[in-house]
Amino acid sequence: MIRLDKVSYQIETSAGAVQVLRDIDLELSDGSISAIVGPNGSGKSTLARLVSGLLRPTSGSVRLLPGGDIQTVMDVRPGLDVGLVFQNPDNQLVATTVEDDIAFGLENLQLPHAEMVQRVGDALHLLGLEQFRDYPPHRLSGGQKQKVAIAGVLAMKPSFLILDEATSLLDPTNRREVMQTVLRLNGELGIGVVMVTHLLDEVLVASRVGVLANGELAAWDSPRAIFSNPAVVKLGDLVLPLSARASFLMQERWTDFPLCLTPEEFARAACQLS
Amino acid sequence: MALSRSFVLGQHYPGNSVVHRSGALVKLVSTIALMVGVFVATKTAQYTPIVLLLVVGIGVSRIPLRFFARGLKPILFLIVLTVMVQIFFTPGTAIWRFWFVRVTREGLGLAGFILCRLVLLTLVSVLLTASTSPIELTDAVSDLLKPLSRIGVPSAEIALVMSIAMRFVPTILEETERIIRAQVSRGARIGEGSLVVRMKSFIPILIPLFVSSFRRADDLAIAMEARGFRVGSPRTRYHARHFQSFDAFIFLGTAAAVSGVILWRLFL
Repeated sequence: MIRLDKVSYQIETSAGAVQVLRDIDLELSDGSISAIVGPNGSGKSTLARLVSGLLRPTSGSVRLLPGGDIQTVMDVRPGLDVGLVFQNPDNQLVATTVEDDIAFGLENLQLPHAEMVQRVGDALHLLGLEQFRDYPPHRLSGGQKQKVAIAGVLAMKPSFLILDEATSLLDPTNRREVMQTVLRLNGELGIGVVMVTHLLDEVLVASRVGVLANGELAAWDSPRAIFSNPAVVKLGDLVLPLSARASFLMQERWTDFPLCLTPEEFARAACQLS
Repeated sequence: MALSRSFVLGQHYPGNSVVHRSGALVKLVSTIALMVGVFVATKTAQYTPIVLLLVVGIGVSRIPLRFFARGLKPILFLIVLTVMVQIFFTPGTAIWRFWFVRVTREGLGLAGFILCRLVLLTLVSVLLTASTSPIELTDAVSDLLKPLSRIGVPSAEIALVMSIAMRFVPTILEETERIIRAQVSRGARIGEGSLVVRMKSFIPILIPLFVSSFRRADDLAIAMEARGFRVGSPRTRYHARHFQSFDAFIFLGTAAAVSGVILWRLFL
């Protein structure tokens, strides 16, 4: 589990100190899927970097509690405990081939050669990238590049995977493929997933969604609870999924029409009306 | 992408020949030694040992000759210019004369010598980079510079910088093509007009290219840190080094060729 206690982050600019995040309290459970949403500049990426250990909070603490055990509290180690996948896959692949890129983090961990070979092979298999082992990154599609970035992170065997708008530059097909892969990894490996995103369709799979607004955590609840709270939706400047928006339109005519988050739910509710 | 395909120098040609499988450090040291040999020679005939070794190397590497020919393309202008200067501006015995232009016997000899020197230097480099993956090459550079780390030279970091630079060459070429297309679609005329106008027309390409490259560098630094990279921290290597039997042949062949050039120059 990762626990954030009263985390604040401030940056110094020429115009003075700017408070990016203020008093964030959050618990990310092992193996869970969570999401962080909010408008541009609300501090989502900063929060992702704080959780991954890349940034240190100005005040408060970010702690790892392996297995939720409060007796073994430790600082988060970037890469080792939390893997971070960024928006643009082109800007995070370091090496000249897929295989070497996956090995990059393992070389930093100073693992023995045999273990590196094993882990690279496992990561390639897990992400279905075996046939691209020797490919240079520039010959891959956007979705494949993002999978390589995920494979590079997973090879380091972190407990959590943070996707910082990792699908926002991809076309719908690649986006769906990457998301399916992430969900599969969550199911098979039990790795905790934190999605930082603008795309609310993606957060429906999350058990908890955090809404950031003006550097504060405005809400931390299930997607259904978040979407049905107009104040939070407005505060987070959230563009709800099409089914949810259609549900609200239906509620203008049929007040007891339920909030539907997926087209399937909406179709079922509409059928019951007739 | 057309722009990225046109640069062969520095490109890897994947293969499984003995040259490909040989140690990168041996190949790198041999290449440097052969280049020194090329510069030591003072007559065209003295290149013979190096040419013989290169012919064997190219043949055994099973890399198509057209790949080497494409490698010469980027320096074709330099070769032609240098050869022309030697042919027309070297004083000596005139063998052809027209108005104030004259071709001398010495000029032709020197032009042939310079032509061989440039072609050999390019072919030796292409053979090295084509038969060695960039990551092996940077590891070899790191090994070569390792003794200097005792006096504070960051050899591992230099090798990593080289590797990253090679990784981003195609990406930046693609970016350049994208920017050119974007500017042309907005009416920019790239490479048209006088020399000054043509040079100016590249400014709207270079500025966005620099801005995006700096942004990329920032993102990459954070991504590397997120994967546990720390400047100066020790790292292990994914590619294990094994001595291949062909390494000995390359080593001995290079030693023989360079010695041959030196002896030829000194005694023949």
